[in-house]
Amino acid sequence: MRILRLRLQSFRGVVDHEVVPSPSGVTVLVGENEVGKTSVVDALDLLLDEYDDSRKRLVRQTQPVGQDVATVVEAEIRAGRHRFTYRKQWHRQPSTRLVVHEPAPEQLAGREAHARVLEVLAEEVDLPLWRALRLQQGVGLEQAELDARSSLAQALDATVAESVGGEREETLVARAEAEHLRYSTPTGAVRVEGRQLLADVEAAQARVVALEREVAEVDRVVDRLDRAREDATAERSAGARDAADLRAAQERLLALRLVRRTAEVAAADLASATAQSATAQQGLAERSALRRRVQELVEAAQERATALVVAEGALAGAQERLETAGAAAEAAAVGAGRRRTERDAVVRAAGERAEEVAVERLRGVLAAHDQAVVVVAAAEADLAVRHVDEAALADVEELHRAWVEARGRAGASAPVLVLRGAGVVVTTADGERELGPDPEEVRLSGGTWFEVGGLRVEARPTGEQERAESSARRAADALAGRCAALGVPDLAGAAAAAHARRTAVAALDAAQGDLRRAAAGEDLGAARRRVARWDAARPTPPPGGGSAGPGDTGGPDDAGTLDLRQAESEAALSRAAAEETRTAARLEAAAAALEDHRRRVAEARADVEAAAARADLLAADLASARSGSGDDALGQVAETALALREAAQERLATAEAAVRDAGVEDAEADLAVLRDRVDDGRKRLRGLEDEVGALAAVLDDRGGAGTVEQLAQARADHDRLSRELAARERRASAARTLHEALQEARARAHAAYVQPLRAEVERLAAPVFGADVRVEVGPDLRVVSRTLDGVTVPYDQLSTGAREQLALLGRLACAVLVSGGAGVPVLVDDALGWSDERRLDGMARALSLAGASCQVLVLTCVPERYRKVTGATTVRLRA
Amino acid sequence: MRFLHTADWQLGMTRHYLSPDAQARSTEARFEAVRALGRVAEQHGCAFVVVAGDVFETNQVGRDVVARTCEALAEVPVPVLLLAGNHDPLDAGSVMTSERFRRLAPEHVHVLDGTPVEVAGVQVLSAPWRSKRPVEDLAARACADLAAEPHVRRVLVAHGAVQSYGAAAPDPAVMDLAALERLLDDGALDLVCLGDRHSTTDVGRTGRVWYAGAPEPTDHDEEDPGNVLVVDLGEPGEPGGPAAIGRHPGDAGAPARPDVVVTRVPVGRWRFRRLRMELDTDEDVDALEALLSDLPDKSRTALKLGVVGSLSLAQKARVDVLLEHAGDLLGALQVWERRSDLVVRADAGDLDALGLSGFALEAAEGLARRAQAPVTADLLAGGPAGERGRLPSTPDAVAAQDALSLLHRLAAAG
Repeated sequence: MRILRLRLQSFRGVVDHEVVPSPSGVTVLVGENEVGKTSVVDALDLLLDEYDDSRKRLVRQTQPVGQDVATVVEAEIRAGRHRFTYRKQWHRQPSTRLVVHEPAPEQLAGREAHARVLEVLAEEVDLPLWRALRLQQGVGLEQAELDARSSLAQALDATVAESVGGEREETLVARAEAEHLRYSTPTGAVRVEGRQLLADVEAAQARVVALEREVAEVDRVVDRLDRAREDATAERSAGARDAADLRAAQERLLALRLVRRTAEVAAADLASATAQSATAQQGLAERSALRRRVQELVEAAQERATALVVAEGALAGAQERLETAGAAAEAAAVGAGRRRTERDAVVRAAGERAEEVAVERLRGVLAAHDQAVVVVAAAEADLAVRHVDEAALADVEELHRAWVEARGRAGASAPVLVLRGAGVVVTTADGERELGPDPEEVRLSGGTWFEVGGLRVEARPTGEQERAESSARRAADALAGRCAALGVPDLAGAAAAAHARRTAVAALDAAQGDLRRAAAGEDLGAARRRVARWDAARPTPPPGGGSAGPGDTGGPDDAGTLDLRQAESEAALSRAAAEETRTAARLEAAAAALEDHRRRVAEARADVEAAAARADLLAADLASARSGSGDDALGQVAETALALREAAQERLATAEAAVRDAGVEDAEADLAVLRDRVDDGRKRLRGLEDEVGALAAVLDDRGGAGTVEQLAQARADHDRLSRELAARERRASAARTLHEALQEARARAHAAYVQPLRAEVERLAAPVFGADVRVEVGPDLRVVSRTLDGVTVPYDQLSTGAREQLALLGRLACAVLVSGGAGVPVLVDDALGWSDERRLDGMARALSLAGASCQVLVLTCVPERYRKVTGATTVRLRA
Repeated sequence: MRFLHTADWQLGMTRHYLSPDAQARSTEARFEAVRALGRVAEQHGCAFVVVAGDVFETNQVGRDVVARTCEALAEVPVPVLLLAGNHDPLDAGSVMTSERFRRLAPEHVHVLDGTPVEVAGVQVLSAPWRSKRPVEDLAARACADLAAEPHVRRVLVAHGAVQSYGAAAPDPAVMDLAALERLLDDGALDLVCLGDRHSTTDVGRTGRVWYAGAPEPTDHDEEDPGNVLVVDLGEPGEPGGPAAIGRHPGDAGAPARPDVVVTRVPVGRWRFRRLRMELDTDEDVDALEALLSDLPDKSRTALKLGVVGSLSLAQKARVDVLLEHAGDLLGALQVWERRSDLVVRADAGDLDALGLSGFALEAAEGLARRAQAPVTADLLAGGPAGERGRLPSTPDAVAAQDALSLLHRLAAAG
């Protein structure tokens, strides 16, 4: 299909505009937003799809806002062999007009024209492909739905000599699948209707089986009932015969009854004689038993007496054994007592020796302590007379310093005279003396005077000098007074006295320390009392043995000896005690044995008495019985009874022989047999009658139920359902077979025609992505991935720009492949907004390539994007 | 003296190939036949009706069947003598001796129990079945020591198969036709009314031994069902007319007695038909269509159809539609599977006609190959494939044929 010309009048914003695109190659329709470039697409759709009198919203919206005018779309189109002008007018005076120019002139109007156009297009053009090959704004990233478009298929078919189906074939696939899904679920399971049918068939079969069983049961009941009725009839006649026989037998038997009576009397006599004889025999036996018992008891009493004698002998032996054991026990006790005394003495001696050692040590401690007390007392006395302590010494030192200072000050205020004159004699207060060769200084303190050569020189002190000298004198007096009080001459004396006191204090501390150590942690009072106790308990020590202990009992005993002796005495004591225990136990056992023997003797004695008593009692009984009737009398009674019994027996035998001869027993046996037979017959008849009644009841119950009809009906149901099931399964099988065959063939075909599309996409993509670009095209004819420089990227993960480019390239490739008869224009509505400059150039080349063989209409407000498309016709749209 | 001879009513019978609706119609038709034969008896002045066995399909019929039977019998205006047959023997479970039947049956209905009955001057002997497996010839027993008596006319009513001349009878219950014919020859019997065979049949040489046939057909293999027989025994001393049916001419030695005239009167309304068609061409399919559309009284027709041949996809689709439509109209349509061998062949022209292209065409060709595979294989192996008769087939080939038919249908849907 080619759009040769398109004219819009009063179509939305377009007042009147005609577009004449290039019949092949690229036509760029340029229009600003709102100018109505998308109206071009919409107008084409409207022209082809909608009736002129359509009141659809999308039709109504084409009328310019606020203007009650007619909207007109007119197009000149080439479709295969046909070229025609098609015009529609909406809203006002709607009309449709078709003028066919080729192949034969033709003019049509109204619905007829509409139908004719559709007919021509359906024949010549692949309309679904026309819609699929658009790249509209907003859906630019979606690839075209190309799945098996028929014109594409034919184009591909021409390329690959393989065939794919068109829309019709796709419809068949869908129908076959729908048919298949009537019987199977998508997972291949049988649908519920099929399963239900199968269950119905099985249920019907089960019903047939059940009814067959029921029918057979009724047949059996009928058979049994017939048999039972026949049997009952036979039984009745047999019963009548048996009853007659019974009556005859009864009459015959009556005549035989007398004979049998005699035998019965004889039998009673025999029974009586037998009883008497038995009684006599029993009396005899009882007497004999009594005698035997008496004898046994006497013998038992003698056995008991013998046993008593033996027991008494044993008792005497036990007595002796007890006495022997008693003596042994006593001896062992005495021995043990002795050992115990010995052990106590040894223990005591060891104790006294230990005490002596302890007392001697305490005595030493006490003596050292007393010595220390004396030393301490001496030290304290020495300290008491030494008064100059450290404080007093400090006092003296202070006074001495004050005096030295005062004296200094007095000396400093006195003038000094220098006397020069070796050998000159001078007289002073201290006498006369000759001056030395060196000048001599004389301090002129108060009262100082000298005489030289008669010259007396007296120093009269100044007031200040007098005050200083007076102060010095008071200080000297204070020092002297303090020293006197302390009993020392001067400062040096005081220092010596203080030193002596420090020495005395240290001596006292040392003595006190010695005193504490001398106590050695002992309680001195207790020690003193322990020593006093020990001394008081001891007599005066023997002369020459000052160090000997008071526990000395003959010869010196050291601790080792004492321990040895103690151990020996302990062992001896232990052995004696064990012996004592053993003998005591023997004694006890002997006493118990004796007690046991005493008891046995008592029991034996009681046994003897009891046995004697029993024997006496029974002997009395025997005597009493014999006094009644003697043993011999009893024997005679028994013999008589036996004889009587034998006589009765003979009589009975005779009578029974008579009964046998008369045939009574046979007659009775016959009668009994007949009676049994009659009874049995009656029972059987009753049973048969019961059975007949029961079976008749069953039949009555079952009859009229129409079981056979139900069975036939059930079989019919089963047949019908089985046929339905078989037919359904056959239909399902057919649907599945067809579905699978179509799917397989389609899959194969699709796989085959993917290849040429892929080649075309790659040819067009080369200018955009580079010569080595490869794409993979899926069975749905969509680009699956792009491979560039060895890197394969799935379509979905490509950049927006690349996806848009591939979406357009795919459409262009299709259009190129289908560019022959059924080919359709590619409509591109303002695409490539995401493409950069370089890619835009590439796309322009791709469009150029495609334009060489098909019609491409590009609608854009950015014509620069398509500037480089070679051979493009640019048409500017205006409002 | 006329009476009506019928048999094998088999009331309560069902047929597995009938749909529930058709079964109801069929059941109703059987009761209607009883009423119809009542009207026939009245129209022909019959003195009574004898039913020679198998009145009921079984002794275990439902009480509704008993009730409706008695209701229909009430409309028969003359005495009706019922004989028990192999389907409804007089055993302990017999319907005809049941309390329900005795209570509901009209006064003029009499159950033949083997005791001779006098009715309208005729002595009716009967040989009822007393069990499903009799061990003797019941007819012979009923006629034991029978001799001709002056002024006594006798009719024997019996049920079962008769022994052909010279044939050995494995079953002791089969009737000895020769013995019966001797009795007829001797004049001890005037007529033997038989039941069991559903086709109306004159048995033997005398013209006096008849199977009445079923008044309503019951199956496809019956030759002349749907009749009752009006029997005219004539009046004593009156010779038979020349038009009498069943008169035996070579019976010169017999004592003079009226000829018996037996007339068939159709009462049945159902038709059981069996057809075998060869379908290979469009003309054959046309013939089938014409045959089906021309069938009269379709709702009371049970058709058993055997089809063989080899059809194109379009032809097979047409046949399917025809049969489906016929199945909707007919009382019953059984496509006789056992002898049907209808092969679908899809040749190149056939596939072209589907107007397929691309993969769909390829799929169709593949299916056609599969459909033909067993035949092809048979041909390659030197077999007779392709000839008329049973063609070799496999489940896969059948599935492929069916799939092609389905494809044809789906493609034809536009």
